[in-house]
Amino acid sequence: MPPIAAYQDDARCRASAVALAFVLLLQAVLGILTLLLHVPILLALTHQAVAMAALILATVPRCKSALPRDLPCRRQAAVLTEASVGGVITRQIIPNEVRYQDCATLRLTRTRLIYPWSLRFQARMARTACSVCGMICRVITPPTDARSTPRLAVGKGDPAGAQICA
Amino acid sequence: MARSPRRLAPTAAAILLLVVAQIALGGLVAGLKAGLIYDTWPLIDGAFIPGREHLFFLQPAWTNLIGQSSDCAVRPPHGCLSAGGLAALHAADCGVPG
Repeated sequence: MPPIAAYQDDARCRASAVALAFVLLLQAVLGILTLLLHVPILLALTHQAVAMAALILATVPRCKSALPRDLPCRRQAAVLTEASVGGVITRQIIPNEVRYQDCATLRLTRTRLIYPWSLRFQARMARTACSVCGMICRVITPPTDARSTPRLAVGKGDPAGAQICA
Repeated sequence: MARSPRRLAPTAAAILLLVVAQIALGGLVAGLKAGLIYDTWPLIDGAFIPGREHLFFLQPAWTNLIGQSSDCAVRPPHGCLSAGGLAALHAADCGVPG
């Protein structure tokens, strides 16, 4: 498992990424203090210990999916993918993503491909329960801007389908 | 293990590389006792990057790479290679929808 696969866009992975950022900030502050205080041994050892913590945080994957493998959503995901939800993503465009689709990854897959980078922030998000598995998911409302037509689109989808783990 | 969004992979890999590089440079800083010789921050001997006369004064020239003069050569990258900014961007990126 490559360490870079550690981050998934859910709360736990965001927390670990934020923790890494704070640890590295702490490490920088400790390094500067160690330097300015003429390398006191306790501070220097702390600086080294935090370095190990940073390495662990940056290396160890912490983002196992909390979802069971056999969610109804997973089976329905393939249907949604082909039918397109709030835009279009097809099996042909991203064949590898289909294998991993569940409530979380389906959302990521769809939004990542539907919107160009500049329009991502225009997508409105709200939390709701998945109509299939009951899990709380984020519903994504596509931007109304005419430019939001997905570049990878091959057809139009049913916006109502976005209620399912979108 | 769940699949991660591909757009996060480059920054995650960059952070890991930077952390490893920082640890390696930190080892040089500690081994060369660079923190005891130039104990100021952010300037090193009055400059962000020390002058040529401080970096390359040993003869023959290649010994500067491993000799005591490299104490001020390893500090700037160790300080500048701080991965904190990139990690913060990465953390923010994780929170962006899409």
